[in-house]
Amino acid sequence: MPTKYLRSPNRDHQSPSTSALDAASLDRRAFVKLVGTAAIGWGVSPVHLRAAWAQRPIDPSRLIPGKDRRLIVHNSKTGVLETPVELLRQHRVTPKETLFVRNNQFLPGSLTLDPLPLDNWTIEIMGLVKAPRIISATELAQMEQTDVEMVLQCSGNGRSYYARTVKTRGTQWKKGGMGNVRWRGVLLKTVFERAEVTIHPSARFLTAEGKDAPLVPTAPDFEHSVPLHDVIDKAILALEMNGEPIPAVHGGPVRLIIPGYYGTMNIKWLHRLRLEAHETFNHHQIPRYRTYIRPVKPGTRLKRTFENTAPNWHQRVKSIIWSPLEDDVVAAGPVTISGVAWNDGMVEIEAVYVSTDRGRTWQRARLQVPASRYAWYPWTITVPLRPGQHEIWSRAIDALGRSQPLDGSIHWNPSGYEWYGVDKIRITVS
Amino acid sequence: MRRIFAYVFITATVVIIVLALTQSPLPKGPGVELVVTKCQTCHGLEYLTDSAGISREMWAETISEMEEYGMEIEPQERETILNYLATYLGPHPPSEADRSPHSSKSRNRTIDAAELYRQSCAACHQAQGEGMGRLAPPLAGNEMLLKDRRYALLVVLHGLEGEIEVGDRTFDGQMPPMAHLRDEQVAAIVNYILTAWGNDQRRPTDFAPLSPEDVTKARSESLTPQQVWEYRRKLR
Ligand code: HEC
Ligand code: HEC
Repeated sequence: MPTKYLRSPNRDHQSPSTSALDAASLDRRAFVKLVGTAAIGWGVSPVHLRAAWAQRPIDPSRLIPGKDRRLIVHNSKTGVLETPVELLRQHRVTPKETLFVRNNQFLPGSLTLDPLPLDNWTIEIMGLVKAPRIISATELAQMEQTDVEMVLQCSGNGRSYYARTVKTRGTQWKKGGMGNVRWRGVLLKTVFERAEVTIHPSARFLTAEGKDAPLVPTAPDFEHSVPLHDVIDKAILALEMNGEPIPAVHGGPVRLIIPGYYGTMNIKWLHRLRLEAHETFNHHQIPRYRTYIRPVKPGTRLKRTFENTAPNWHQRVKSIIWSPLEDDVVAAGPVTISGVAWNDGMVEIEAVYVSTDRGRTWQRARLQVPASRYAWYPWTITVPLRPGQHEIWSRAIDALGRSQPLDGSIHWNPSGYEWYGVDKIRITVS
Repeated sequence: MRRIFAYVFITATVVIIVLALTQSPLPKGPGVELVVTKCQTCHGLEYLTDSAGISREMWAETISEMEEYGMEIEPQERETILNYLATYLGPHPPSEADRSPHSSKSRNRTIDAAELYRQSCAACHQAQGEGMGRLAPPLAGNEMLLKDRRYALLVVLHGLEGEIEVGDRTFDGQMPPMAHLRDEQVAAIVNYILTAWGNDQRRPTDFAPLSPEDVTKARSESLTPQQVWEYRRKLR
């Protein structure tokens, strides 16, 4: 019931509601209820009203009960929250309270950390298969389970850094559109075996749909395609996150988890899998969530086609510095610099190099062994720093020699996806 | 009872809009009401403020994309929204002073020069042009301003840096260039300081008021604050 969130308005402050209330000569509770109803009609949630009433910004822990109130709100309606690096760096495995949220659409009742029930949840498997199947979440729970720890990262993470050349529209994520999470569920290939799904050889792509829906029914419904051959051995239909049923806001009761892929491909509230010969041409697969194959000058707006773009599938090699932080003041002498690195899990991260002289010389940081090839690799290095302004850069390289560009804007694209430039922070040493 | 219900529902709706507007994180400007009502039906206004600074074409594309998502707007509303977004959330948003209801948003509205002075200059030169200690020279009774018709104009547009004497006081500060003000605004402010606080009494009779065209011309000279200081020195 929306009314329970409403607080009576501040008496010192003559709000427009007071006169409206007098005019209507209704009791406050009834009025407040009606405002709530009208608000819903207008798409204003009780959380907004409450914030408006109290004249302060939206509190993430009210938008999504259970979330840490220090998260940054990027969309106060469907729920888009970023984890500040100060919180991100506190845990090797990101707890549900601080994990970022990126919702494109909305599933009623999902803005909570509580899980949704498994009962009556089904997943339809259809398309280029001998016979379509419907499996239930409870059946999935009976099958053998697999665990994976991995970096879950929004493909828009780091978008704000493209503004160093030409700003791109959308949420200006810094470094906190990601986390390192443990999932448990059933391998996709096991599901296919157990459900006796026979796939036609012409099937090349797996297209996944969630139960969420766009606000306007005529709008394209969010879905994504991934290459079947690449995901078949590693994708899981996950039922648990960090050892608990997946919180509703993170896509439970069943979420498609594809280790190494960008977050957007990990479809939440999974309820349909289609096997197809071609990628979907749904708006969210093209032109959204794609980058140009050939670098373009920042600001170039080329029509995005299947030929000139690639989807946000494999995560790029990336490292971030999470201590110190941009604009920190640290004492001169030995300064410890730390962060994490990761890639798409195809091969290992081989090294992370750190430069304190804007790329003239690089020193190799100490890497920790990750929990899995898809998880993040914590790294540290201690360097002597003299008083003054300093820039610290970090750059990861993997066993295939894939690394981060010195100027990340080389990968500029109109929606600002897949930022993976060398991480650069500025600090003061005193 | 039905009628009361309908009445209250409408009132409540109005309250929502008023609340949304008073709480809106968006800068005020023509069309903001439409943007606030149209653009937060599907997501928060954070998407808009986060995107602030993108070009007009990018905003136009964004609006088209929202139409694909089911946003319904009339062509005229589209124009209003695009103008608002491209201006107030575009690459060069107007400054606070320009946005205030006292400044001229449309050319045909009269400019309140005193108010502009209060907003842009009084923090340093003080309300009556009396100056501030050793930090900012007085403008009231300042002889230099009356020696040359264009001098004050050059200072406002290009700034001033270097040691100066005004009466028996010396100043060695920096006057920041105020080039973000529009031509009409600069003309109005300069005409104001040349006539206010009794300055008009001592003003030479051949001192014609400055026009926006004078400002356009002076703007194109692009001097440094030090060059303006040189200019001042030659006036002695
Ligand atoms: C009918 C629903 C709807 C309306 C109304 C709407 N939007 Fe959107 N908007 C969306 C959807 C859907 C997305 C994509 C989902 C997401 O990013 O969360 C989006 C995303 C955005 C983005 C992020 C950029 C991107 O490409 O994802 C911006 C900026 C934006 N909208 C601006 C606006 C503006 C400005 C208006 C008002 C003129 C508006 N929206 C009105 C549905 C809407
Ligand atoms: C941030 C403080 C500040 C603001 C705001 C400011 N000024 Fe100044 N102004 C100064 C300082 C300081 C000087 C003297 C610079 C020097 O000593 O070199 C000065 C000098 C001047 C002079 C030249 C005085 C002389 O004796 O030569 C004029 C004219 C002037 N300001 C007008 C304005 C007007 C008009 C505005 C508003 C549009 C304005 N100033 C806003 C600080 C300011």
